[in-house]
Order: sequence, then structure tokens, then C-alpha cells
Amino acid sequence: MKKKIIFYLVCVLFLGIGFLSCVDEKDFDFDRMAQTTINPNIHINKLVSEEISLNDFFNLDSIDGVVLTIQNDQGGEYLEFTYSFDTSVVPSIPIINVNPTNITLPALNLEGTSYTGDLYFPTLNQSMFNTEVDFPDLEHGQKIDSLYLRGGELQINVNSNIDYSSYMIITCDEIRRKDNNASFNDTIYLSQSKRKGSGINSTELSNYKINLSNNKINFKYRLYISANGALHNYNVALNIAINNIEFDAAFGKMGKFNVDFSDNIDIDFFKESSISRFFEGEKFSLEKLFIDFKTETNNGIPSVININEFGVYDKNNVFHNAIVNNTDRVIVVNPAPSLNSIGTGTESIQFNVNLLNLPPQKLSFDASLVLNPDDVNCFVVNDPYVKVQADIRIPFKGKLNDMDYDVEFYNDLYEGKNSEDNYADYIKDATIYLDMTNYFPVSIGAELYGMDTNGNEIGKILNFNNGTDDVIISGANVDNYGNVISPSLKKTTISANSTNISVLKKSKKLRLKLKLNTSATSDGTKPYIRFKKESKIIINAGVNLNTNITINPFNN
Amino acid sequence: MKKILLSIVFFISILLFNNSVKAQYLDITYFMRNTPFSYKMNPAQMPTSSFYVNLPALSGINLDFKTSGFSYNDLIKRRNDDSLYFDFKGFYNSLSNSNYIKLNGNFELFGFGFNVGKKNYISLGVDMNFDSRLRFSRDLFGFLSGEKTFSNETINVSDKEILSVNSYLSTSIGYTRVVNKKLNVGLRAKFILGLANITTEESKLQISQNDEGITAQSNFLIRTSSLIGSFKLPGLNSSDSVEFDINSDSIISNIMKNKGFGVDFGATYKLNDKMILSLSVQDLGFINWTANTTDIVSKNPNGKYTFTGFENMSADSSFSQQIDQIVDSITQALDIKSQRGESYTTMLPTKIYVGYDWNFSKRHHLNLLYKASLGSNYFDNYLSVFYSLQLERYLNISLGNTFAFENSFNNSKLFNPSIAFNANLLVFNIYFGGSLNSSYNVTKMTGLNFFFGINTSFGYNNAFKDNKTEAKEETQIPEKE
Repeated sequence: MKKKIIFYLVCVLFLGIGFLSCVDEKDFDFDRMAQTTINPNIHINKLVSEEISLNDFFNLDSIDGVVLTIQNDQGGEYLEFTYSFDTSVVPSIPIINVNPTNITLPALNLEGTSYTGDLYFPTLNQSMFNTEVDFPDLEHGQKIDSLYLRGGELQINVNSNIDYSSYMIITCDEIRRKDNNASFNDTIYLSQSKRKGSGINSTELSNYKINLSNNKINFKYRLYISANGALHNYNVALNIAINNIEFDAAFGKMGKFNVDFSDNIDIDFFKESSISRFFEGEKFSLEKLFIDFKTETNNGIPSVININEFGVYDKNNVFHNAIVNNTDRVIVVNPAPSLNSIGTGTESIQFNVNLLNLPPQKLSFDASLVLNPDDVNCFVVNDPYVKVQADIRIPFKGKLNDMDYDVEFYNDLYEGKNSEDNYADYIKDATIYLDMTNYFPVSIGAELYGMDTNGNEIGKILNFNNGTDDVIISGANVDNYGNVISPSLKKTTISANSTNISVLKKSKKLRLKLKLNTSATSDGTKPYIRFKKESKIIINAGVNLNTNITINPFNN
Repeated sequence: MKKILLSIVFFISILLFNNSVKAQYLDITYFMRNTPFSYKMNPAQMPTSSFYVNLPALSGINLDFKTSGFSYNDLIKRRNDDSLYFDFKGFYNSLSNSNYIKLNGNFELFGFGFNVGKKNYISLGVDMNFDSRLRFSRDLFGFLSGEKTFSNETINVSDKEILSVNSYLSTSIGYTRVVNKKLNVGLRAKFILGLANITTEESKLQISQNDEGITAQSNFLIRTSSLIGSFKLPGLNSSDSVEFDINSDSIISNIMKNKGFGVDFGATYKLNDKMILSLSVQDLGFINWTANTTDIVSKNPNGKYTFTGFENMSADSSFSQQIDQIVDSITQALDIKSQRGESYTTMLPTKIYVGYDWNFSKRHHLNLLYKASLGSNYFDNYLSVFYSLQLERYLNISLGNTFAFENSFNNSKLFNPSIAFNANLLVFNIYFGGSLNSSYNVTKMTGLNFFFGINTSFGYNNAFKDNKTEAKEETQIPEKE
């Protein structure tokens, strides 16, 4: 019995040893744990749902100095950029200096006579004495017919040896009040002193107007004496002076003369805007380019602007003439039809649209303002001006023909960058699924290249449509006028395999090459596209990302 | 500090001194009547000793670790150069749709039993039980391995039951009656005091994807109860951390709050002198949890958030702003909180045993055991075949295999060997053994069970021999008359 028990115990012992042999410490030697690479897959059907409009790329409403408007023509609505500049010409006004006039009345030889009562000289049954004041000749052959005065002084001085109370009555039909058209009328009393009588009157002329008669102003006068006894021989002198004439308007022949003006204007729109890149290389062509000259003047003088030179300078500072037809060099400035009104005029000239492809950096013009070229009666105001505003109108109707648009940017996933974590290390390969609806009438092709530190392309980063077609999306369908009639639809895959990822990590910079083409009609012709702000691309993007993660929790 | 120490002691006690209520591969002891385990599984199986005393901390330690079918080697493999590596792909392929890791334990605190006459046996016992199960999704490892792409399908980050923890103290009194020469019956009544419980009613966290976007949906209802305190979840958006508020003052007042009741009952029937058929039901009962009940619930039950793609990135809201908004929306939709819970009842994990013992030779037995393990969301079947060498009361060596069919996890494992040893050295009765799941190779095991114990026993009741004697006695009585 005991032997059997020992036998069974030995069996149990061997069985236990057998169990122990099933444990191999090497299976639990975590110091020998190797790094393990796992490849979790992240698949998101809808990672991005986005609408991208033209305005997201270029904020058309906020381009400095450019106004965006909606216009219409037979083909429908279109956008139009307007870039404006203006200049102002101030013609000179006539300076009028009237020389004073001295008049000596005929002597009154009354010595030895006596009289008590009123003496008029000339008598009341005779016409008043008459004298003239000459109005000066003006420059440029200007001849004034009338003046609306805003200032000035009429000073009349009378000296005599009359020893009785007396006065001088003076009238002038050429000088009339503005308000009631009444002729000028003044009475100058002569004060007595030491057997002499004299008087002076000054009249402020701002309330008067002057109607010249053959460039002269006629004054009439009559002397009055209140006699009371013996009379003597009397001498009377009259001095008339018109000083400091200022006028609101001068009517007459204003003469014929020129005013030259010129300017150079930087076009920031093309110098700094990202849009200017589109105009380079003649891959983007616009349908038309207009310049509207808008004139405005408060002068009643007919005039014309002769444009001697109008054009643009390119990046190399070479001048390019914008006016093709010489008849377009003369711009008529309509005069103000009446005092206190404005004369306006607009002339629209179609310019060489290809100038935009230089692209223009600076606008330059040189012109003359010819005032009163036909020497006609007109008027000039005290503060005359002629404003000229040039509106460069660019209807946003254009074509893109294989336009290459490259963008370079630094690569955050560059392995040479000093960064603790490079997320590219965790990417094995990736595919982006784009489901797009394009209302934008431009097809977009794309390629993404990696560049080394010397700027050399070292390989592709992305493969579009499995490498068969770089076109991400075709342009929307358009009619003959360039209007979008229906969107284009396309599903595009963008993939990056392990080779691409390797290039990505070696690339200091990335270069995105876009190739843009505007849409063609069903018969293949490419109309000028009417770009709209609300043109958009609807993008639904999903991603399939195979990661590459190396872990070893037992190794710090 | 006092609270911390109390909580540490509490949890260590739970981890170390508990009984596996669903320990499958202790089954080999069903027919080893010298061990306390056999009597526990079927109260009709009268212990071989006329009197026994289970010693505190020595008489019954049973630890059970098990997975739903994956092994260490499925996750960590060794190359020819002896270097180790993680094999997430292999691990993913070894997983079923629902997977778990279980840790069960049992500690016999005290017990004794004795014959009352020839036909009666009375026992008393106190033991502690602990079982825990963490379930996880196969999909997560499919994602890590790259085997699962989740295009237009649903990811179950967690499903019905993410965590289950159950710990209780069981005080039992048993009675076994020899009805006649063939039939024994037994009944054990248990008064149960619950220590801690986590019951997951709902723990759904799904991520599904279709052409419209990715939708995350969650619904959580996890009930907890503990004698010493309660969970406090401030919410996902809060900067406060998860806390366990310990209220040591209330332990005494709470100790009788988590009451439960259970019964074991069974019968053995001797088919003939060589064969015994037995049937038992173990742990039919419940625990009503009322102490410090706290529910962890979704703020928005079945709340969902659908990500339909980033939008308007170039306009008003930047990418980072949208990320922040998405995080806020997800947090709002899927946020969880803790709240005072109502009392709730959990059923004990009930087992049904059907055993067949064939004493085909003088010292040799062939045993067959069918066990059904029943619970609220599972019904698992186990069929075991054991060979047993039994040298009277002195030595019992059993070995065999269990065929496991866990329907709840669609998991069938046919190779689960067990071995058990029992030696009775006069007063001291020593027993130990265990079982392996799936493989002898430790790295390929899917489970491991170990038990050990020493108790004191006196006398010897041989299930076959004694009954024969008793039968003779019973048949002789009328002859005398």
C-alpha cells in the first residue's frame, strides 16, 4: 500500500515538473521586447464639407482702390472692377485794376454876382454832366461785358472853393444794385472850411454789378449850391476811383488759353494684389478695358482736354501707350450752363486690354486744358476748376488658358526641422476622397512637389486619380456668354503612398502647381467667362489614413 | 489618512479573500469529498469526515483567472531571436465579438461540520467571495491592428456590460440527510452581506459611420454600491477628477444594508454499488444593494453627436475653433455623471450540477460532470470527465478535462485539463490543485485556476462503503425483528 502511495506521489511530482517545463522565461523577458509597428486605419467618409467661393480666394470687395459693381449687358450680369483717379485744373481768373479818374468841372465864373437861393450846375433843365471811367484791358484778349461783384470800393472825392453849403449828385447806370437793378446814385456833401468846400464818399460794391459799356463806366453828376448873397468864381474837381474789385463771375469774352497738367499714378491694384499674378504671362485674357473720362467744371468757359500722352509703365519701367485712336485724345469739357451750376461730361474710350497682362505698374498722362478754344462769350467764376476723373473699368469677363499658378510654402513635416514629433512619421499612406460639385467655371489641375533645401524638386507628394489625371475637377458648364448653366461633378482620389511620404519628409518646401482653364461651351469654344463672387466649389472630402506607429511600452 | 487606509484594507480584502462564484475549473473537486469544495457544490454530498473544522485563512483559497479565449501568446509573441513583439493583428483574430478578462477569488473564513447520527450532517461556514469581469470590444484591437477600417460600419467601443464587480460575505448553514440507502438530500441556506458591487445595466458606446458622417452614441447606466463610500463623477467637462468618497463612520451602520439570501440544495442517488448520480443547485439567491448606492449615468441617455465634416473653415470659424466646438458637442452629448441611486437587486450566479460517479474498480473512479452556469445575461455549459484514484481516506488524485461551451461569448474550448490532490494525514486534510485552460503552455493558456487548503477532519464516511454498511444495517433490522 505504501509503495503504491509513493508511486502515485512520484507520478504527481513528475506531472508537476511537466507543468513547470511549460513555462519559458524567455516568453516574459520584456527587456527583449522589440519595437512593434502597428498600422491603425482611420477612415472618415466625411472629413470636410466645405463650400469655397471665389471670394474665399480673393476678397473682391476689399481690393484697395478698386470698386466692384454689377453691370448688365445682353449676355446678363457681370462683375466690373473700377479703378479711379482724378486730377483738377484751376484756370487763372482775370485781375482787374481800374485806374482812378480825375475830372475838373468847367470853372463857374460868378464873381461880382449875387444871388440868394438854389443854384444847380448844370441847371435842372440841362442834362447832368457826364464823365467816363475806362475799364482796363485784360490778358489773353479777355473782354469783360459785366461783372457780378463780391467786393470792391467806389470812392468819389469832390474838392471846391465854394463858400456856401453845397453838394454833388452822382449817378451811374453801368453800376447797378444786384437786388433791384437800381442805378448807382450818390450825394456828396461839401463841408465848408476856410472858404473851401470838399466831400468824399465811399461805396462798398459787393451788392453791385457792373455792366460795361464799350469797356467804360459812365458817371453823371450835378452840383448844387445854396447861395445867399455875393458869389465868386468857383472851381470844382472830381476824382472817381474803383479799387480792389473782386467778382463772383465775369461775363464776356474770356479769351483762349491753355493749362497744362500731367501726373504719374502707382496702380497698387496690380503692384501688390495677388490678383496681378493672374494677369502675368498672357494666360489670363480679359474681354475689354475701358477708361471713362468724367469732366466737371463750375466755369462757364467751353474747353477741351487734349491728351498728349496716356499710358502705363510695366515692371521694367517701359512706357506703353494706351490710346490707339488719335481721335480719342480730345475730350470735350462741357461748361457750366449758368452761374452756380456745374457742367459735366463723360467720354468712354476703349483701350488696349492687353496692357493688363504687362501687368501695369504705373499710370502716366500728360494733357492740356484748352479754355474757350472758339473764343465765345462765356463766364468765369471767382474760384474756377476743371476736374477730370478717369475710371478704368475692367469687366470681369475673361479666359484662362493653361494658366500655371504655383504656390510655395514651407513644409512643417520636413524631417530636418527641429521638432520633437514629426507627424509624417506616423503616416504610412493616405488617400483623400473628394466628391466635388463645381459651380466655378474653371477646371483645376494640381500637382504637389517636394523641394530640397536648394529649391530643386525631388518628387511628387500626391498622386491624383491614381496618377492618370491631374485634373481635380472640370469647370462648370457655360453658355456662349460665359454664364454658368450647370455645375460639373467629379469624384477625385488623392493618394500618397509610402514613397510620397518619404519625399514629403525630405522636402523643406512644397510647391503646389495649379493649372487653371476656363470652361468651354459644348462646341469647344471658350467664351469670356463672367466670373461671379458667389461662384463656388462644394467639396465633400473623406480620408483613408493608414498610420504607422511604433510602440514599445517596455522601453523608455 | 484613516479613510485611505480603510479603503486600501477594504479593497485588498476584497481582492484576496473571496470565492469564485463562477469558477469553472474547480469542478474537479466536485467528486473529492475530502475537500470542503465538494460539499459546497452539492450539500447532499456528505463529507467523508465525521467532523471537520475549516481553519481561518488556510482552509480554502481559490483563485481563478480567465479570459474569454485569448491568451498571452495571442498578444505577445517571440521571434526566433527570442525578441518579443506585440502582435495586435493576431490578437484581434483571436478575439470574439465580446471579450472579457475575469478574476475571481474565494477565501474560506471559517467553517465546521459534523455528523448527527448516521443519517444527518450539519455544517456551518463563513466565506468571502469576489468576482470581477471586464469586457472589452474586439473592434478596438481591430482598429489598432489596421484590420478594421470602419467604413460604413459600427464600432462598438463598449457594449452591454463593460464592468462587473461583486463581493460579498456569505454565512451558511447546511443540512444533509440520508433519506435511504440510495438517496441523500441536502440543503444549505445562506445569509449574505454585500460588500461592494458594480453592475453594468447599460454601457453602450458606439461609433457608426455612413455617407452622412460619423455618429457617436452612448448610454450608460452603471449601478454601484459599497459599504464604505460612493463614487463621485463630476462630468467630462469638469476639471475635477473622479473621486471615491469614503465615509468610514457609516461602515458599521451600512454593514447590514446590503442583505441577501441564497440556497444550495441537492441530492445524490446511488444507482448501484458502483455508481452514484447526483444533482445540485448552488447559489440560488440574490443580494439587495442599498448601501451608498450611486448610479453612473449618461446625462443625455442615448445622446448622440454626428460629425458631418468640417465646414466654413475659411470663413468665420477657424479649424481650431471647430475642433473646440466638436469637442464641446461630443462632451455634451456623451457626458456622464454620478447620482444617488435607488436600491437594486442582483442575482447570485447560480450553478446547476449533474454528476455521475462510477467506481469501476476498487480504487478507481470515473466521473462525469455537467455544469450549467446561469446569470442575467449568460448561460454557459461545461462538461467534464475525470479520472480519480482514491486510496481510502488517505489519498485522492484526480485528473481530467473540461469541455467548455460558453454560449454567452460564443466561445468553445475543449482542452481544459484539471488536476487535484488530496491527502489526509490523520487529523490534517490537505488539498490543492488547479486547472489550465486551452494549453499546458503558460503563454497559450486562456485561464488558470488554483486552489489550496488545509483543514482538520476526523472520521471517515465512504459514500459507497458506508451506504453498503448502512444498507446492511437497515436490512438487518427487520430480520432482527
